[in-house]
Amino acid sequence: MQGNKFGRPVLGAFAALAAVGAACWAYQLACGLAVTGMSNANSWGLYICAFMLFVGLSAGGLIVASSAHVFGVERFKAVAKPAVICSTACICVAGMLVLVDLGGVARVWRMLTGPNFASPLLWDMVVITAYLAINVLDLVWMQRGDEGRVRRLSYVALPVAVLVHSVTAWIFGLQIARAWYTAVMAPIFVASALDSGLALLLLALLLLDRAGISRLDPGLMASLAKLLAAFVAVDAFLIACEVLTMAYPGAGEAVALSEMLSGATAPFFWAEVVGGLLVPFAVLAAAGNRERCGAVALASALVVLGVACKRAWLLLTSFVHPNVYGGPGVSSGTLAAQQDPAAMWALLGSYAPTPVEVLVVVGVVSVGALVFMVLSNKLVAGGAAPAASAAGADGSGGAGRSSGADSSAGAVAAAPASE
Amino acid sequence: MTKLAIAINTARCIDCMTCSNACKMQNNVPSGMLWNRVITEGADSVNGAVGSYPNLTRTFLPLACQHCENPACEKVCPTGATYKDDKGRVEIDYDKCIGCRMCMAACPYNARVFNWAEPVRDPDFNYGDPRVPVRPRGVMEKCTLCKERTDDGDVPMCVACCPTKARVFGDLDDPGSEVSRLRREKSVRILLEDKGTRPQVFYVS
Amino acid sequence: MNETKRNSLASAMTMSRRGFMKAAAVAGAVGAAAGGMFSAGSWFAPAEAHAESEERTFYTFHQTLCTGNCSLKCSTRDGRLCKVEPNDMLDEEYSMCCARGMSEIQHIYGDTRLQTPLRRAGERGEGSFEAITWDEAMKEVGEKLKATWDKYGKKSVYVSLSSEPRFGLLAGLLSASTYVEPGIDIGIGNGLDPATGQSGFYPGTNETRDMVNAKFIMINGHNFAETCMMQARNLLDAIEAGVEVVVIDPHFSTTAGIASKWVPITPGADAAMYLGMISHILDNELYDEEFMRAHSSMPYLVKGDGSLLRWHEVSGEAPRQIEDEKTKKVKEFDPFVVWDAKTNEPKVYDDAAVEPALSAPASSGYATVFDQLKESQKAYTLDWASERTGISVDDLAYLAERYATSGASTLGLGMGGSDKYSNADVLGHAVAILVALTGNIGGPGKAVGSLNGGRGYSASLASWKFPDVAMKANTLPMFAYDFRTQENDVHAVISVGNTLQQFFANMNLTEEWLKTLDFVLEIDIYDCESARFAGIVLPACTKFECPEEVGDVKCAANHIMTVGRGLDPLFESKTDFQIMLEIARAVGLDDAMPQTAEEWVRHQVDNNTAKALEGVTLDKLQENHGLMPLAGIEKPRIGFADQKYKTESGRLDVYYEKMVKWNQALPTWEECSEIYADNPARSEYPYQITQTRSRFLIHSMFYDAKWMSQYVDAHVEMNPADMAKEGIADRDLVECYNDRGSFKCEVVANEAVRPGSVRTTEGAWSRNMDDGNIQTVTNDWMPDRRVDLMKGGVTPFNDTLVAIRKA
Repeated sequence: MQGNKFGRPVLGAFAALAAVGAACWAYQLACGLAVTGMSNANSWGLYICAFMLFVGLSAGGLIVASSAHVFGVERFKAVAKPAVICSTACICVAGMLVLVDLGGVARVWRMLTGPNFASPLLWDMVVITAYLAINVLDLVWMQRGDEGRVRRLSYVALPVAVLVHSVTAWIFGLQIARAWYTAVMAPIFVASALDSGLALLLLALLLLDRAGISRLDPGLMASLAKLLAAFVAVDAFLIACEVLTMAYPGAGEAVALSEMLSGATAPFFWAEVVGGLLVPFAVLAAAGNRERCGAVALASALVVLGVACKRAWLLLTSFVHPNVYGGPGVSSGTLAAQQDPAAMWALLGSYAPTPVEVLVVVGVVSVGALVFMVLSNKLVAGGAAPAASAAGADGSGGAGRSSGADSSAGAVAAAPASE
Repeated sequence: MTKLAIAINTARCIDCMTCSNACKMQNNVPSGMLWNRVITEGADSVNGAVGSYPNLTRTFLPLACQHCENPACEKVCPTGATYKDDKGRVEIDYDKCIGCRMCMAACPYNARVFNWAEPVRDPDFNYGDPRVPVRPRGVMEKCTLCKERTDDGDVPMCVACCPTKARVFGDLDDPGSEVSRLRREKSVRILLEDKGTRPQVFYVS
Repeated sequence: MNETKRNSLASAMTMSRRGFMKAAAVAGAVGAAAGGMFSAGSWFAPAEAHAESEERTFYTFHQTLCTGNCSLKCSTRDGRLCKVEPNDMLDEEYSMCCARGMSEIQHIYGDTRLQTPLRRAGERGEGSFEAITWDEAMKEVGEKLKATWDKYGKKSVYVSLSSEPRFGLLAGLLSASTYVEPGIDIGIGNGLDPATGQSGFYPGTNETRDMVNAKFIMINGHNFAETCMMQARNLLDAIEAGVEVVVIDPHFSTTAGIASKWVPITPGADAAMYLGMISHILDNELYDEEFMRAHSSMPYLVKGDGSLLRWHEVSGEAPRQIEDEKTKKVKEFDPFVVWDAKTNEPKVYDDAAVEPALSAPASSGYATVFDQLKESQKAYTLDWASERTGISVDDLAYLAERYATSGASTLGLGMGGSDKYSNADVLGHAVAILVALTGNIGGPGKAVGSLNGGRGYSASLASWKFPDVAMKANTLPMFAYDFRTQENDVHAVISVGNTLQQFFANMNLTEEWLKTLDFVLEIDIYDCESARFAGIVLPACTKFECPEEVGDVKCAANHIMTVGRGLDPLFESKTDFQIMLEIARAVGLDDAMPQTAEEWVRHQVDNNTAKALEGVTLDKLQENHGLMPLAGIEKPRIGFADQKYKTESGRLDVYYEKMVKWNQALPTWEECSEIYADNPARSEYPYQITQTRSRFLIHSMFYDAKWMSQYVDAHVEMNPADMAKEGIADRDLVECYNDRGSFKCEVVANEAVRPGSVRTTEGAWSRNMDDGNIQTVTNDWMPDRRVDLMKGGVTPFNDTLVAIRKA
């Protein structure tokens, strides 16, 4: 089992998906964003939903890893490296998703030569870059076993992680034009990042465990799962705050709310509330479940999917009703509109991703998966000995404190020894 | 300073769409989009009305960039492609636009249109004013307050062509201008005033 | 419809269109289709102003049919029309151009343009054609016309001419039969114009610039803001000045929306509203006795048989001999008689010393017209009118009171609404009575009639004199709609414009008639519905295409304006003048024609004798960008300011002797022929269908203008309540049908539409519909009294019932 790696077939499959995605992106570059389902009425879609999701997903890893140092949660150190790898892969995905969403990617250098510092998108570019840099540094220093630097970096990494999610939230939350305009947007994003990021980390760790690359200590799993339950609860609480604030006055935002509760985006909203919050919380609330890999995996997957749904309703609800409503509507600017002037109007915003868009996202996510697998192969499985032993040492320490851990707790520590 | 503005008398608007086509023509606006449109407020179709027969009302609302004093679109633009110029107009430097559509999300008026595809024109050549830049695929566009005309001292095409003379163009910083007088003396409607964007396009009736 | 056969025409056209595109290939056009991945237009190319290329400006005028008559400044770049603006040489008052004018930038290049002459390749009506050359086409036209002449004489050729194309010489040249728009726009005029002696098209008596002087404006069956869009500013000025404007319309029209008050009315009941108003005015003595005595036929004495008493019957004097000022023809006139209240005896009506009594004493043995009116109005109480119109008694009384007593009331009547009911003449007649009772005519703010085109000043241009006096247009032997059902001598039709669809209701019947003809020649710019029936189709060009320095001239909108040198005719089209000349050549009559358009225009302008055009010559006109104001237009025109009418007695003659036999000497209520409430057919066909005129279209034009398609397409509108009843949803495909025909299109839910009605825009071509043609369902019923109506019966297009179902 030890020394296992993600094999070539798996890597090849994802590389193929990435290639398909790249081809679709090339097609999109050739034909314009008109090949997506977006329009003037609904001007952001799957790319931005996925962007929000992956910025959030990247949180779990870095927060868990940094917490190990900042809050001295020694147990977490065991999974610090896979956590940061996971985080790195996700933030790369997020960055790529912003790029594929650009209509004029060839002019993106303008952000560097003529930045407008008032733009949340610029802030986001800065913090995402910083975040990526921190992840990479963290990995490098971990790999070198430079514990001191890793610790010091953690004190920077944690606030930057919080900032990444806040700034991403502010891309939306500062727009007075839309129902996104709410102070709770940043806390919601942080909470969603915490639960979905942790959920993804659990899934990643379970995967590494399954793949025999690195062992996941059930005790650790249980405690991470417990933490996840707490995060889910916080997330649910913040959403409840937002919904109540929208609903109570029965005024302007009631339109968006009704769309969320019973309209176009309702399936996403209720899928999240039930499938992404209630069910996983119920699963994880039972202590026994937290020690069952299957239950934890199920809950984690549900949390990730739930947050994905949240991105959809959060983003798209605001595009449904133009603030100034009236026939014939908004000129949509789509390919169909170009071809038939009678079909150029959209009374309400509507959106469905096209196959091209879906494949581009699949491709980008595949690149992320490749990043994760390759780095895991290199740095976790049979990676450089010092890092592994450091992780091993920490891991065994963690296992030691986790009473009642099963006998395979030493497996992580044993891995380097067997090499 | 100069703060160019348009006052629109909605009581004089008959929804003839002349301003829409005049703008489309002048500015070489491609197929499938308009910089300037007229909506029947609250109704679901052209010729529609609000209420139920025979208790009906109808307001036509010509709608384009509001050239806000506090433009939400300008703030969010990461490259400064959208800017407020020295004449108080909100303009776009097409060369700087990276097509991120932050501004589109930020504009409360759905005033902006995006070149999702390679722009197509029918007829298939560049019509209108030759001074107007041709926008490529992947950039945002919108009402420029007929920059090329107003720079030359002409009124915007929608103002020049409105058959009912519902539109008045002028400088809000000139207290003697007709727009300033209307703003002072008339009961003025500011679209989505609660958003605090402080439009320089305003409505009287 | 016949899809494949339709395509054959399209492909013939596409071929030559491509040829054209090649010929007129334009540099600098940014990629038409989605460009290549790294096409220069998208990736790195900076946004640049388009190339400095050669620009040229010219002046022309736009449509006559919308009555906007806009004079336009146009720009071309690289030989293509790139800008259409209001003519900047005009006073701001008149400087205008609407969305349709600007849409021409695309429309003139549109894919429905007829590009070459076409010859029918299949059965008539199938729409299968082959492209031919002008020589081939004109040879055949010449042969066909001559053959028809030889067989049946020149009158057997009917020139069916839309008001838009500029073919003024054609009917005269061919000595053909012609008639202006038979059965159209004359419904109300049939009842109103005999009272004033106007044309029959009930032109508004004052110019719309005068609206601001009114105190009360009633607009009925008239979507003024759309159909008189270029004069809408006059109405808006009036509203802004505080004039009360009430719109009476079944639907919440655009005009109803801007008015002070909208009064919904049951379709077809407008005449009942006026009859009720008349009764209220009579009952409450709100009338203007002085006016009635001095300027109307109200005091004329009526004999027991319903005819008017004439002076020779009383005095034995011989009728007067009256010489017409213009024609110098002498006419006999036996004057009318009034009852002199001073002497208590009958006197000649225009004796200044007489005090005409409005009511004749019973002892006289006569009744006055006014007496008769009071008698005939007894049946038409406010309650009666309210029941028919759906307007409350209070509102009817209010309308009557305001109209009678405001001091200056204007009554605007449209041509697209209540004019198209079978009882429109009764409506028009009732209006004439209302005007005569209240004196709301001949003064500032006092006007009546259709407001189309602003009704400003006009001036006649010199007409072309053919060398042979026999060369003149002949009046049709009967109304054109009767050709379809009655024996007649017409065997060839030259249709200019989409007349075969637009002029006739019940299209299937029209189609039957067209199939019996020897020859149909269609001349149009676009591949319209009428082309489908033609043997030969000739492609005309727009007013933006003019190869001569000047191509045309007209007086309209208080100006004289010309068409200046513009684009060369696109594709293989020719100008209207060129086509007339081609036809003249084909029949060997070209010597009778001016040889160039400029010669014709110069003749019209330089030889005119109109006072308003004094000193205007073509050269001066051209110096002035083809546009000059008529003299004396400073103040709005007030018609009949001298209270002299063009009637027999010179007064408002509201008693129609000719109609005694039809019981319409004074207006008597008559239900519509089809849409009346108790029609048993309603159980099967429950909805009235009305074809309104849209601000985005001109009759059947502009459906194919892509810039207008942004705002309008062929569909029907219904009230959501009716749609719920029928189980149809917004944007469903529906079929509208009755026992005459059917058509299919989308339905749009609209609260502005009156429940019980289906509303659509006028004139959609079959190709705009999913199937069929609106004109196949329309009602072509005619009253027997049409023979005595001024302009014959009106085609009651809006007096049509249909059923609707999901298609």
